[in-house]
Amino acid sequence: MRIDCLKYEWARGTEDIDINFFSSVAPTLIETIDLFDYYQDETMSEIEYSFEDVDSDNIFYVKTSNLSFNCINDNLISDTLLFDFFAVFESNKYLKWKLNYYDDNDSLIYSGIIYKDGVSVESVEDKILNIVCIGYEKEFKDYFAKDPLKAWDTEPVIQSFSSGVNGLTYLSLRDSILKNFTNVDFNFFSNFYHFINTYLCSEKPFTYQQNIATDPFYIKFKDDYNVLHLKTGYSCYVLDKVNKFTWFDSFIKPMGWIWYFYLNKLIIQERATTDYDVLNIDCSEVEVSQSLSHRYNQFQVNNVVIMDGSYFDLGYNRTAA
Amino acid sequence: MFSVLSTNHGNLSHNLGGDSAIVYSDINFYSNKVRPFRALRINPDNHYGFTYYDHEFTRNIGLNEYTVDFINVSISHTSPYDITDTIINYNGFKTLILRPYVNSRDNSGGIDAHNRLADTGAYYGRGNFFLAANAPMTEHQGFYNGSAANSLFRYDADLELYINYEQHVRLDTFTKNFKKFLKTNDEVIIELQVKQLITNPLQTVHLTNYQDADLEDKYFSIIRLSFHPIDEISTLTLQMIQ
Repeated sequence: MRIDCLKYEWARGTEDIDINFFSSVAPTLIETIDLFDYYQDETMSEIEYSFEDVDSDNIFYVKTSNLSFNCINDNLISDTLLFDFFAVFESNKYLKWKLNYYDDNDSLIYSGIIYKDGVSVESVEDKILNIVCIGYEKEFKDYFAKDPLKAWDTEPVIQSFSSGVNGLTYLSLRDSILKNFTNVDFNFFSNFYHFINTYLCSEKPFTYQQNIATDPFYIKFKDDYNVLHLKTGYSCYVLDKVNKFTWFDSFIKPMGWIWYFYLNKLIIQERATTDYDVLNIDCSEVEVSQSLSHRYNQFQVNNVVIMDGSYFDLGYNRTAA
Repeated sequence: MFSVLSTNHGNLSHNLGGDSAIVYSDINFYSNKVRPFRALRINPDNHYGFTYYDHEFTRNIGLNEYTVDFINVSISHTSPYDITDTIINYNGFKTLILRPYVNSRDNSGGIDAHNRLADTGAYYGRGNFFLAANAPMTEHQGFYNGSAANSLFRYDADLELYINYEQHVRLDTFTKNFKKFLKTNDEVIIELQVKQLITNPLQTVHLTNYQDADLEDKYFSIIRLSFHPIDEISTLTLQMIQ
């Protein structure tokens, strides 16, 4: 078992937004140590993936997967003092640390980031540090919430509609995401069958009814009356000058999908998914305790309402809520 | 564009526009249809006709986010229509509101019913245009905005149909995705603590020899996973998915 901790530093003068592992500005790796050499017994927290939560005001938010534990400043194995490694007595905003936790089989089981304010001295006298490692979700949001959504890019445009639906231009959702999040490793990238790879993203809003009588390439939509109705398009958000994270969140949340980081990879999945390999748990051999209920106790609501914009015209000249 | 004559409103014009809300509830009725028109009809003069009869949809009436108006337009094809409003006030304490970013009204799209084939100038295709590019509004134009999910669509090879967000919110996949938030009686949630280090949430779980029930043919999605890497104890919250 080992806990690799990699100390990175960005060059002095780097813009605040670029002091981020998702930035195109690369930091310098200063030093790597095994924090397990410094670990104080019985201080390790659980690692939790709960993906999301709702606060007391029923506000929905994404949860990071965190880990905390204590370390002792020095040990007999390494010469490095943690007070120095974590620059405890130094004011330096250009430092961040990556943490990679490996099990006894040398398999990576958790990864996260340690920020300067995630290291606190629990006891100066006993030279004990408390270390809080945060999942990559925070780093992702911090960076892309300040990065403007890219303008619509015409390459590669898929032009498979040949039925006279003039003006309906679109990219695959996969390309739309990858063009905006260039330094992010997504789970759908290497999985051809991932559902994200089936979606298309329209450039502009579009409403259309085909003329069955005259159109030789009749395209069918899953609509009782075969109306194609796309209320929005990618360019609406570019024109609004929104950031990349806002756009990302604006389709993930209402679709019912969730996102989180697992071992440095950004996972997008259906909240209730059946897509993964099956893990068989034999309860007679490994079970410690169990409970069964008909609800997830974390939430206590009867209704989910997704605000979805508005319809308006000359007579109902209203703005969206 | 969205105005119709309504018998319930003194045979006066009644506008079906307004704020849209997708709803998923275990105690209140919902339809997850939000567009205020039923269908489009191509008229001989190459105009679109909008049909409103025999249509039901939900809108938020703007008093607050917890008030939804379920609207039903009569089956009769002829105006004036009999419009039924069913106002549902949700308990704010028992309602989860999701507010994805909605594009601004200025950058909303619209359709011009009297220019169905227009592809040039302010029109980027088949009568579609951005509001800002084609001001001022006319009575033949209708506009809409929404979350970015409304810009997505996909081809379903099994159905041989294109599916957009309007349809997605009425699929089982969508309701499954939101089911964990609700107090329901038809959902099975199991919390299990095991003496085994399970670190990967990207798995579907199958339980054998579960003491209280035969779950041999059931599969579960992990909705929460925690593990202690040193004690090697893992706790899973599982949602039955099939």
